Amino acid sequence: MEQETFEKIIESWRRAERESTPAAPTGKTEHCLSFGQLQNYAEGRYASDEQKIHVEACGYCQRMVRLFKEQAKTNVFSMLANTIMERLSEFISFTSSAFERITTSVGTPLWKFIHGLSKLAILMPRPIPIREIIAILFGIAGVVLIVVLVTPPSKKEQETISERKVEVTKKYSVFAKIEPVHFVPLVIRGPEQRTESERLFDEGMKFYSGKKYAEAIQRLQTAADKNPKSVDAQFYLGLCYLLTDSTDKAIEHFRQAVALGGNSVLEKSHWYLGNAYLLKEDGAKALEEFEKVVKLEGDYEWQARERITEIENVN
Amino acid sequence: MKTNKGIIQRFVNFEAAKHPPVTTENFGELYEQHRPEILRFCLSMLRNYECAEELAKKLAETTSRKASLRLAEYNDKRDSLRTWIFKIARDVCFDELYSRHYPEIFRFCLDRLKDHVDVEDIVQDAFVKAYLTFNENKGASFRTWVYRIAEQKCIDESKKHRWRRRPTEVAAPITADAVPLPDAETPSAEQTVSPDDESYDIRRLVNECLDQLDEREKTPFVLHRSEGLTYEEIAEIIRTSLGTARNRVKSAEVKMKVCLEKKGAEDYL
Repeated sequence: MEQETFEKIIESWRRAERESTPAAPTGKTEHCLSFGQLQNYAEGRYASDEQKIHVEACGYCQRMVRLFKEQAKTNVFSMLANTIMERLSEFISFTSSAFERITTSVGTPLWKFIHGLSKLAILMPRPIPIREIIAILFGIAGVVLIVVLVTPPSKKEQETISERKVEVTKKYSVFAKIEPVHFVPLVIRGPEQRTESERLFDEGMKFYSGKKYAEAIQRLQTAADKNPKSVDAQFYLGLCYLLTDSTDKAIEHFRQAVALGGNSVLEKSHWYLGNAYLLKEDGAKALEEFEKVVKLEGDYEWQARERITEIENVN
Repeated sequence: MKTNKGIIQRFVNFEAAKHPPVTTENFGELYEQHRPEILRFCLSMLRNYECAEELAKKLAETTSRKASLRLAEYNDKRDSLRTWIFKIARDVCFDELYSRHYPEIFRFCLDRLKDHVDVEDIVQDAFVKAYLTFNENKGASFRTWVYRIAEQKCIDESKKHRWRRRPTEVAAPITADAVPLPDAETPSAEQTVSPDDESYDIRRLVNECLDQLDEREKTPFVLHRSEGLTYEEIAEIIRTSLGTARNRVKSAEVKMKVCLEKKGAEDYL
């Protein structure tokens, strides 16, 4: 066939096609709303009374409003779907390019399928501004994940770890048992002939039974200064120091009480001395003290035996 | 009382800061200030078009006419006259583009979907989408942009109907009595052809030949020959290089010539 006749045929076909198709959408008139007005109407932003009346009557305008509403509805989901598809397609194209290098000789159908998938995603209309934002969010999430995994343990966790290490070094102080002794004040009937040191001692013991050890120490100290031979004052001073975590001073006072040789508090002072040595991690001296308690065969005998077995187990 | 006065004063200032209402009489003067801007704006909307300058002038006039009719809209809010006029100019330009490209997009979609769905709905949907995403179109002309969106819409629509049976297939029960007659198979289009109308026959012939072509060659050929798109635009729409687009059109032409010769299309001229 010659070119001229072909051109003529195509020209007439073209004219016929153009005549057969509608020049404008059905139902559209000059009074119909423009695109901007339709968008405003669909989103409920602005519509005059005339426009409302017109849209109710006009089929074309109603259809356009419906389409605008659908578009607004699907926009968010389509954006999300697009972004997910894009990420996927990037991932697939990346993996497939790696895959291709490995299997250049073997053209598997699976590989073709993956390649087709990656092409499908490109077909979607792309320009959407939010996808960048979502990509950034993904990136931030990834970075946060990595940071959480990589960061060293915090201060609290470090402290707990150091505590565990300390516990390993504390062999004996775990067993130390320090409780305040119940004190019943002496009541003497008859005329009062108490010395000043005894009065101070009574005052101090009131604070002691009220668990105010700092004030009790002051009174007891003055009482012990004035009457250095009083055994009780020395013993309770030591106990108060022990309860306020100053073990060195406590050991001093207990030793003085033992040296003075008061029978009333001998066993107790040996018992608390042993506990004080346990706190100081001195196992050998504690053992000596506890054995003395056992020899005395008093109230603390069985507790002292327990301590001895525990110390021997540790060794 | 001081605070009250302050609040009132602020309210008065706010009212005064609003633009004064515009009447039909002083609108002409106000519009003249913005005319060169709007001309430039219309030109940017209509880039890649023949005689765009004359068109832009025409559209600027229509914007002034339409804006004067829609002054009540502006007087309700009174935000900024300039942006309001620009919105109207955008609407007018888009309407122009809409009326220009509606027929070809309609043909494009009809060709793809073959009449079994509401084509008009899809075409309008494509234009709505094009309107909403107009600013996101970078580089490509409006025409190719709409073509792409329409193509995507057609693909979506055909996916919807992929697993559905067509109503004609469901409606026809297979019974022994209802044997289809051979006469009933002939297309009804042939009966409606009037012998005086020559162009109709040629159209039918060419369309039959087009249906024999592969889809990959058919669309470039139709776009090039019927709609007069350039090779570059076609390459952008079907997402290939310029060379392949040209080759497809050429090979389709050769096949069409053979087909038309067989059918004897010259006799209808």
